[in-house]
Amino acid sequence: MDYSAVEIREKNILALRAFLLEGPVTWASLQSEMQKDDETAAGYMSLLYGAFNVAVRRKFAPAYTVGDIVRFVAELRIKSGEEAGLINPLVAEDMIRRAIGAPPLKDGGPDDVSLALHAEVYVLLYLITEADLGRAELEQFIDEAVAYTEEWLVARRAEASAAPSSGTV
Amino acid sequence: MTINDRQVEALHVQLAGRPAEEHLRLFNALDETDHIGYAALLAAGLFEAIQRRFVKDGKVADRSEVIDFIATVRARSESSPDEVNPDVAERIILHALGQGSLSGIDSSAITRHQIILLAGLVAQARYNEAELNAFMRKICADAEEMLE
Repeated sequence: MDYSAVEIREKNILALRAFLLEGPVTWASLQSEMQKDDETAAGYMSLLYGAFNVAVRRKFAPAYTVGDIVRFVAELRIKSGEEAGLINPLVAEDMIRRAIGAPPLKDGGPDDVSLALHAEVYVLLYLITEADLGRAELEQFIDEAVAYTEEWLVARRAEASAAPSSGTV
Repeated sequence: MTINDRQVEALHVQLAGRPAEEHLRLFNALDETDHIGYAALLAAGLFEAIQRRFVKDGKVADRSEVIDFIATVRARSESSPDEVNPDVAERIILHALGQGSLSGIDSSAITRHQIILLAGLVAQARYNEAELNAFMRKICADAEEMLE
Protein backbone atom coordinates (compact mmCIF):
# COMPACT_ATOMS: atom_id res chain seq x y z
CA MET A 1 0.00 0.00 0.00
CA ASP A 2 1.35 3.42 -0.98
CA TYR A 3 -0.15 5.73 1.64
CA SER A 4 1.38 8.77 -0.07
CA ALA A 5 -1.14 8.17 -2.87
CA VAL A 6 -4.13 7.92 -0.51
CA GLU A 7 -6.10 11.12 -0.06
CA ILE A 8 -9.49 11.88 1.41
CA ARG A 9 -11.44 13.48 -1.43
CA GLU A 10 -14.94 14.89 -1.75
CA LYS A 11 -16.26 11.63 -3.21
CA ASN A 12 -15.03 9.74 -0.09
CA ILE A 13 -16.81 12.21 2.18
CA LEU A 14 -20.01 11.96 0.13
CA ALA A 15 -19.81 8.17 0.38
CA LEU A 16 -19.34 8.32 4.17
CA ARG A 17 -22.30 10.68 4.57
CA ALA A 18 -24.52 8.37 2.49
CA PHE A 19 -23.27 5.38 4.48
CA LEU A 20 -24.09 7.02 7.81
CA LEU A 21 -27.53 8.14 6.65
CA GLU A 22 -28.65 5.11 4.67
CA GLY A 23 -26.36 2.21 5.57
CA PRO A 24 -23.99 -0.13 3.72
CA VAL A 25 -26.38 -0.54 0.77
CA THR A 26 -25.17 2.85 -0.49
CA TRP A 27 -21.70 1.38 -1.07
CA ALA A 28 -22.90 -1.26 -3.51
CA SER A 29 -22.38 1.11 -6.44
CA LEU A 30 -18.79 1.77 -5.29
CA GLN A 31 -17.68 -1.84 -5.72
CA SER A 32 -16.15 -1.42 -9.16
CA GLU A 33 -14.37 1.82 -8.24
CA MET A 34 -12.96 0.30 -5.05
CA GLN A 35 -11.53 -2.56 -7.08
CA LYS A 36 -9.59 -0.10 -9.26
CA ASP A 37 -6.53 -0.19 -6.99
CA ASP A 38 -5.60 -0.41 -3.29
CA GLU A 39 -5.11 3.32 -2.92
CA THR A 40 -8.59 4.14 -4.29
CA ALA A 41 -10.20 1.62 -1.94
CA ALA A 42 -8.11 2.95 0.95
CA GLY A 43 -9.61 6.42 0.49
CA TYR A 44 -13.01 5.00 1.37
CA MET A 45 -11.93 2.40 3.89
CA SER A 46 -9.58 4.65 5.86
CA LEU A 47 -12.33 7.29 6.20
CA LEU A 48 -14.71 4.59 7.43
CA TYR A 49 -12.03 3.53 9.93
CA GLY A 50 -11.62 7.17 10.99
CA ALA A 51 -15.38 7.51 11.51
CA PHE A 52 -15.36 4.31 13.61
CA ASN A 53 -12.58 5.69 15.82
CA VAL A 54 -14.26 9.06 16.32
CA ALA A 55 -17.60 7.42 17.15
CA VAL A 56 -16.03 4.97 19.60
CA ARG A 57 -14.01 7.69 21.32
CA ARG A 58 -17.10 9.85 21.68
CA LYS A 59 -18.92 6.92 23.29
CA PHE A 60 -16.24 5.58 25.64
CA ALA A 61 -13.50 8.19 26.20
CA PRO A 62 -12.37 9.34 28.65
CA ALA A 63 -14.25 7.26 31.26
CA TYR A 64 -15.04 3.61 30.64
CA THR A 65 -14.53 0.15 32.10
CA VAL A 66 -13.79 -2.97 30.09
CA GLY A 67 -17.15 -4.18 31.38
CA ASP A 68 -18.81 -1.24 29.57
CA ILE A 69 -17.24 -2.45 26.32
CA VAL A 70 -18.36 -6.05 26.92
CA ARG A 71 -21.92 -4.93 27.66
CA PHE A 72 -21.99 -2.59 24.67
CA VAL A 73 -20.96 -5.32 22.20
CA ALA A 74 -23.44 -7.75 23.77
CA GLU A 75 -26.26 -5.18 23.41
CA LEU A 76 -25.23 -4.56 19.81
CA ARG A 77 -25.37 -8.29 19.07
CA ILE A 78 -28.71 -8.72 20.84
CA LYS A 79 -30.26 -5.83 18.90
CA SER A 80 -28.80 -7.18 15.65
CA GLY A 81 -31.04 -10.26 15.99
CA GLU A 82 -30.38 -12.80 13.25
CA GLU A 83 -27.31 -10.84 12.13
CA ALA A 84 -25.61 -11.26 15.53
CA GLY A 85 -23.58 -14.13 14.09
CA LEU A 86 -21.85 -11.68 11.76
CA ILE A 87 -20.37 -9.77 14.70
CA ASN A 88 -17.50 -11.58 16.43
CA PRO A 89 -17.53 -10.22 20.00
CA LEU A 90 -13.79 -10.56 20.58
CA VAL A 91 -12.97 -8.81 17.31
CA ALA A 92 -15.44 -5.99 18.05
CA GLU A 93 -14.27 -5.55 21.66
CA ASP A 94 -10.62 -5.56 20.64
CA MET A 95 -11.19 -2.93 17.93
CA ILE A 96 -13.00 -0.70 20.44
CA ARG A 97 -10.23 -1.16 23.01
CA ARG A 98 -7.60 -0.18 20.46
CA ALA A 99 -9.60 2.86 19.35
CA ILE A 100 -9.63 4.28 22.89
CA GLY A 101 -6.10 3.20 23.81
CA ALA A 102 -7.20 0.48 26.26
CA PRO A 103 -5.03 -2.63 26.67
CA PRO A 104 -5.96 -5.05 23.88
CA LEU A 105 -7.52 -8.41 24.68
CA LYS A 106 -5.09 -11.34 25.09
CA ASP A 107 -7.14 -13.08 22.42
CA GLY A 108 -8.57 -10.52 20.02
CA GLY A 109 -10.44 -13.18 18.04
CA PRO A 110 -9.72 -14.57 14.58
CA ASP A 111 -7.46 -12.52 12.32
CA ASP A 112 -10.00 -12.11 9.54
CA VAL A 113 -10.54 -9.00 7.40
CA SER A 114 -14.24 -9.61 6.85
CA LEU A 115 -14.87 -10.05 10.60
CA ALA A 116 -13.03 -6.77 11.27
CA LEU A 117 -15.08 -5.00 8.59
CA HIS A 118 -18.36 -6.37 9.94
CA ALA A 119 -17.43 -5.28 13.47
CA GLU A 120 -16.44 -1.83 12.25
CA VAL A 121 -19.64 -1.31 10.24
CA TYR A 122 -22.06 -2.63 12.87
CA VAL A 123 -20.43 -0.72 15.73
CA LEU A 124 -20.26 2.52 13.74
CA LEU A 125 -23.87 2.40 12.53
CA TYR A 126 -25.14 1.42 15.97
CA LEU A 127 -23.31 4.34 17.59
CA ILE A 128 -24.56 6.78 14.96
CA THR A 129 -28.15 5.59 15.42
CA GLU A 130 -27.78 5.76 19.20
CA ALA A 131 -26.35 9.30 19.05
CA ASP A 132 -29.37 10.46 16.99
CA LEU A 133 -27.39 13.30 15.43
CA GLY A 134 -29.10 16.29 13.86
CA ARG A 135 -27.98 17.51 10.44
CA ALA A 136 -25.39 19.97 11.81
CA GLU A 137 -24.15 17.42 14.36
CA LEU A 138 -23.72 14.84 11.62
CA GLU A 139 -21.67 17.31 9.57
CA GLN A 140 -19.52 18.02 12.63
CA PHE A 141 -19.03 14.30 13.14
CA ILE A 142 -17.97 13.88 9.50
CA ASP A 143 -15.54 16.81 9.81
CA GLU A 144 -13.99 15.14 12.86
CA ALA A 145 -13.78 11.82 11.02
CA VAL A 146 -12.00 13.47 8.08
CA ALA A 147 -9.56 15.25 10.40
CA TYR A 148 -8.86 12.05 12.33
CA THR A 149 -8.33 10.08 9.12
CA GLU A 150 -5.97 12.66 7.65
CA GLU A 151 -3.87 12.54 10.83
CA TRP A 152 -3.94 8.75 10.69
CA LEU A 153 -2.75 8.81 7.06
CA VAL A 154 0.08 11.21 7.97
CA ALA A 155 1.20 8.70 10.61
CA ARG A 156 1.06 5.81 8.09
CA ARG A 157 3.14 7.81 5.59
CA ALA A 158 5.68 8.60 8.31
CA GLU A 159 5.90 4.91 9.21
CA ALA A 160 6.39 4.02 5.56
CA SER A 161 9.18 6.56 5.06
CA ALA A 162 10.91 5.39 8.28
CA ALA A 163 10.92 1.81 6.96
CA PRO A 164 11.42 2.18 3.19
CA SER A 165 12.01 -1.53 2.59
CA SER A 166 8.51 -2.34 3.80
CA GLY A 167 6.91 0.86 2.57
CA THR A 168 5.26 -0.73 -0.46
CA VAL A 169 3.19 -3.88 -0.14
CA MET B 1 -19.05 -45.98 38.96
CA THR B 2 -20.16 -43.81 41.87
CA ILE B 3 -19.34 -40.23 42.66
CA ASN B 4 -17.39 -39.99 45.92
CA ASP B 5 -17.48 -37.40 48.71
CA ARG B 6 -14.11 -35.90 47.77
CA GLN B 7 -15.34 -35.03 44.28
CA VAL B 8 -18.60 -33.60 45.59
CA GLU B 9 -16.88 -31.54 48.29
CA ALA B 10 -14.34 -30.11 45.83
CA LEU B 11 -17.11 -28.79 43.60
CA HIS B 12 -19.40 -27.86 46.49
CA VAL B 13 -16.94 -25.45 48.11
CA GLN B 14 -16.47 -23.66 44.82
CA LEU B 15 -20.18 -23.32 44.13
CA ALA B 16 -20.80 -22.19 47.71
CA GLY B 17 -18.52 -19.23 46.99
CA ARG B 18 -15.93 -20.25 49.55
CA PRO B 19 -12.32 -19.02 49.09
CA ALA B 20 -10.64 -20.21 45.89
CA GLU B 21 -7.73 -21.61 47.95
CA GLU B 22 -10.11 -24.01 49.67
CA HIS B 23 -11.43 -25.28 46.35
CA LEU B 24 -7.91 -25.62 44.96
CA ARG B 25 -6.72 -27.55 48.05
CA LEU B 26 -9.58 -30.04 47.68
CA PHE B 27 -9.27 -30.20 43.89
CA ASN B 28 -5.52 -30.83 44.09
CA ALA B 29 -6.13 -33.60 46.62
CA LEU B 30 -8.16 -35.52 44.03
CA ASP B 31 -6.19 -38.37 42.54
CA GLU B 32 -6.26 -39.60 38.96
CA THR B 33 -9.11 -41.98 39.64
CA ASP B 34 -11.22 -39.04 40.78
CA HIS B 35 -10.89 -37.09 37.56
CA ILE B 36 -13.49 -39.00 35.56
CA GLY B 37 -16.02 -38.66 38.35
CA TYR B 38 -15.24 -34.98 38.88
CA ALA B 39 -15.59 -34.29 35.13
CA ALA B 40 -18.95 -36.09 35.10
CA LEU B 41 -20.10 -34.09 38.12
CA LEU B 42 -19.07 -30.87 36.43
CA ALA B 43 -20.82 -31.78 33.18
CA ALA B 44 -23.98 -32.84 35.00
CA GLY B 45 -23.91 -29.68 37.11
CA LEU B 46 -23.54 -27.40 34.14
CA PHE B 47 -26.27 -29.18 32.19
CA GLU B 48 -28.68 -28.92 35.12
CA ALA B 49 -27.80 -25.27 35.79
CA ILE B 50 -28.28 -24.39 32.11
CA GLN B 51 -31.69 -26.11 32.01
CA ARG B 52 -32.81 -24.28 35.15
CA ARG B 53 -31.62 -20.90 33.87
CA PHE B 54 -32.55 -21.08 30.18
CA VAL B 55 -35.58 -23.39 29.97
CA LYS B 56 -38.82 -22.11 31.48
CA ASP B 57 -42.01 -24.17 31.24
CA GLY B 58 -40.47 -26.21 28.44
CA LYS B 59 -39.62 -23.10 26.41
CA VAL B 60 -35.96 -22.64 25.56
CA ALA B 61 -34.62 -19.10 25.90
CA ASP B 62 -33.52 -17.40 22.72
CA ARG B 63 -29.93 -16.62 21.88
CA SER B 64 -30.13 -13.05 23.17
CA GLU B 65 -30.55 -14.34 26.74
CA VAL B 66 -27.44 -16.47 26.33
CA ILE B 67 -25.48 -13.48 24.95
CA ASP B 68 -26.70 -11.35 27.86
CA PHE B 69 -25.71 -13.93 30.49
CA ILE B 70 -22.21 -14.39 29.06
CA ALA B 71 -21.75 -10.61 28.91
CA THR B 72 -22.69 -10.42 32.60
CA VAL B 73 -20.07 -13.06 33.47
CA ARG B 74 -17.43 -11.34 31.31
CA ALA B 75 -18.16 -7.82 32.59
CA ARG B 76 -17.54 -8.73 36.24
CA SER B 77 -13.90 -7.66 36.43
CA GLU B 78 -11.03 -6.23 34.41
CA SER B 79 -9.64 -9.71 33.76
CA SER B 80 -12.95 -11.49 33.07
CA PRO B 81 -13.13 -10.58 29.36
CA ASP B 82 -9.85 -12.42 28.85
CA GLU B 83 -10.86 -15.44 30.93
CA VAL B 84 -14.07 -16.24 29.08
CA ASN B 85 -14.20 -16.55 25.31
CA PRO B 86 -17.77 -15.52 24.43
CA ASP B 87 -17.89 -17.70 21.35
CA VAL B 88 -16.85 -20.82 23.31
CA ALA B 89 -19.09 -19.99 26.27
CA GLU B 90 -22.16 -19.28 24.15
CA ARG B 91 -21.65 -22.44 22.12
CA ILE B 92 -21.38 -24.58 25.28
CA ILE B 93 -24.71 -23.22 26.55
CA LEU B 94 -26.46 -23.45 23.18
CA HIS B 95 -25.19 -27.02 22.77
CA ALA B 96 -26.70 -27.96 26.15
CA LEU B 97 -29.95 -26.45 24.87
CA GLY B 98 -29.82 -28.69 21.81
CA GLN B 99 -28.49 -26.11 19.37
CA GLY B 100 -25.23 -26.20 17.41
CA SER B 101 -22.12 -28.22 18.15
CA LEU B 102 -18.83 -27.97 20.01
CA SER B 103 -16.70 -29.13 17.12
CA GLY B 104 -13.39 -27.32 16.79
CA ILE B 105 -13.20 -26.34 20.48
CA ASP B 106 -10.39 -28.11 22.36
CA SER B 107 -11.31 -30.12 25.42
CA SER B 108 -9.23 -28.06 27.87
CA ALA B 109 -11.05 -24.89 26.78
CA ILE B 110 -14.38 -26.65 27.27
CA THR B 111 -13.45 -27.80 30.78
CA ARG B 112 -12.15 -24.34 31.76
CA HIS B 113 -15.35 -22.70 30.53
CA GLN B 114 -17.57 -25.35 32.15
CA ILE B 115 -16.16 -24.45 35.57
CA ILE B 116 -16.58 -20.69 35.06
CA LEU B 117 -20.08 -21.02 33.61
CA LEU B 118 -21.30 -23.37 36.32
CA ALA B 119 -19.96 -21.04 39.03
CA GLY B 120 -21.61 -18.07 37.28
CA LEU B 121 -24.98 -19.78 36.89
CA VAL B 122 -25.05 -21.01 40.48
CA ALA B 123 -23.99 -17.59 41.78
CA GLN B 124 -26.84 -15.95 39.83
CA ALA B 125 -29.33 -18.52 41.15
CA ARG B 126 -28.50 -17.36 44.72
CA TYR B 127 -29.23 -20.76 46.30
CA ASN B 128 -29.42 -20.95 50.05
CA GLU B 129 -27.58 -23.79 51.77
CA ALA B 130 -30.49 -26.24 51.52
CA GLU B 131 -31.06 -25.41 47.84
CA LEU B 132 -27.37 -25.82 47.02
CA ASN B 133 -27.30 -29.16 48.84
CA ALA B 134 -30.35 -30.29 46.85
CA PHE B 135 -28.66 -29.14 43.63
CA MET B 136 -25.53 -31.12 44.54
CA ARG B 137 -27.59 -34.26 45.27
CA LYS B 138 -29.38 -33.93 41.94
CA ILE B 139 -26.20 -33.52 39.87
CA CYS B 140 -24.51 -36.30 41.84
CA ALA B 141 -27.30 -38.68 40.81
CA ASP B 142 -27.16 -37.42 37.21
CA ALA B 143 -23.38 -37.85 37.08
CA GLU B 144 -23.63 -41.41 38.40
CA GLU B 145 -26.22 -42.15 35.73
CA MET B 146 -23.87 -40.71 33.09
CA LEU B 147 -21.10 -43.04 34.29
CA GLU B 148 -23.20 -46.22 34.25
